[in-house]
Amino acid sequence: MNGKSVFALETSTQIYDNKRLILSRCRRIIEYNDIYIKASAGNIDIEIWGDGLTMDDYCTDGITVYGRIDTVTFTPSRRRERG
Amino acid sequence: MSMKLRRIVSFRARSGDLIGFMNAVRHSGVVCISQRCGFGEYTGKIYYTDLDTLRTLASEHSTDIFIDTCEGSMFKVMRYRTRYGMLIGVVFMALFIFFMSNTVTAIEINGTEKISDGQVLSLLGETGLKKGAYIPSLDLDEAEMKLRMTLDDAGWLAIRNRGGKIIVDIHERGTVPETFSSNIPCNIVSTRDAQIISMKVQRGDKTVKERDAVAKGDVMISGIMTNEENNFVVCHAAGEVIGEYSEKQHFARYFTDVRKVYTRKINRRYFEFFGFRIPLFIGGKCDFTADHSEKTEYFEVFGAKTPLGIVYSEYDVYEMKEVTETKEQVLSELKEQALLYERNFYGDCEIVSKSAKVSEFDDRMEYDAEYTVRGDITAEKEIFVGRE
Repeated sequence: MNGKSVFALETSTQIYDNKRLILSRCRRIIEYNDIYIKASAGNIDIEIWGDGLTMDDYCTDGITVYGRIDTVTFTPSRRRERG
Repeated sequence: MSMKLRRIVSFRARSGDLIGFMNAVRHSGVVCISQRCGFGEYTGKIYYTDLDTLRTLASEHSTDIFIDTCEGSMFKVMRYRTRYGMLIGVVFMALFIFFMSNTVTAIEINGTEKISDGQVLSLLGETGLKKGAYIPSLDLDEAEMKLRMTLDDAGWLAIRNRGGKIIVDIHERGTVPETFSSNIPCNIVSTRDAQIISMKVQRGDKTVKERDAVAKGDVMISGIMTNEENNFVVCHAAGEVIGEYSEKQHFARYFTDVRKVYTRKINRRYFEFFGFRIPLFIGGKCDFTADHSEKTEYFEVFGAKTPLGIVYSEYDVYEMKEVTETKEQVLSELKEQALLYERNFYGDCEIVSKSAKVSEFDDRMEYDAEYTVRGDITAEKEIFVGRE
């Protein structure tokens, strides 16, 4: 158990069917187009593949992705790996 | 149905560092929805108030910004922001609504026939409750109390307001059976010199009988009685005694006297607007002596009375002048006076006979009437009982 989990600062991801994905924390968008979004979310990078991907940002640190979501991949971020 | 009130603009960003621009937008605190990125274009929707921030960020990231559409009702409203007439109209409407809901525009009186509307309105007026009064400053409880204290025929009443209309509900008191007014011992005495025609005794002992003559002040029903043990007991005597009596009345009128002479009639109209009156004539105030009467006709919409109407005001202008009347005119006036007297003073009695004598003098005419009347001649007279 680390400090983030104690203070509930972990990134949470909610997926509704394959139509909506809510990412609670998103530090940076790394790549974005109609079929692919890659975003940095704390310790992990999240990759979303799909079609007709759109994004809403309500200034809550997180993002909401809409569209037909095919795959979601989580990979530890490179910075973390280096550490 | 969702109403978009805030101004929302759809933008399109091209060329430059689009991803960098996108992240800059995210970190600048700009709410951006429906973002889409592809084919060298980044699109989204932001609030109009964030547009300047967006332009600044775009120039920092060498990105070109294009505005596609503008949505939201505020855009339409802002389009009319220089139309001061509309603004004044809106303000006027708001003031009008405020005025309508806080000012007495009509007073409705329900549920009474015995009590006249004029009487109720006059009493309410004394407490400040009248057309045009400011409702929050009114004390409806006080007005209710005032009506209750003053109107004997009102059994139950309530005053409430619905918007600018004041509704007064009055339930009349039912017929109360005749009861003894008090338990104070008293006798029933005669109020006149009369001959008794009929008697109805409710309590007490008769001291006279029918066809007897009584003088003013004579005891007719005694409140002092004896019981089976021959003890005196006092009670509140009650009953009705009809007596026949004669009365003379003298009327006189001079041929030449200062009297009212009506010279002309003036009709004036006002437009009544929520208790306020707008004159529909040209001219100032009435500065003449006149008898005044008026009636108001309210406009109706589907049978419901509106607070708008026309006030018809009539003035009978008169002057006080020395006038000489003919004998016929004077006699007619005297007869009218006598009739008025009969109506006022013998309204509850039966006039058995009437004889009149007309005397004519140089300057006046006199009318002497003698009435034989049948009526109630009773009055209560208290018995003072000493204690040892």
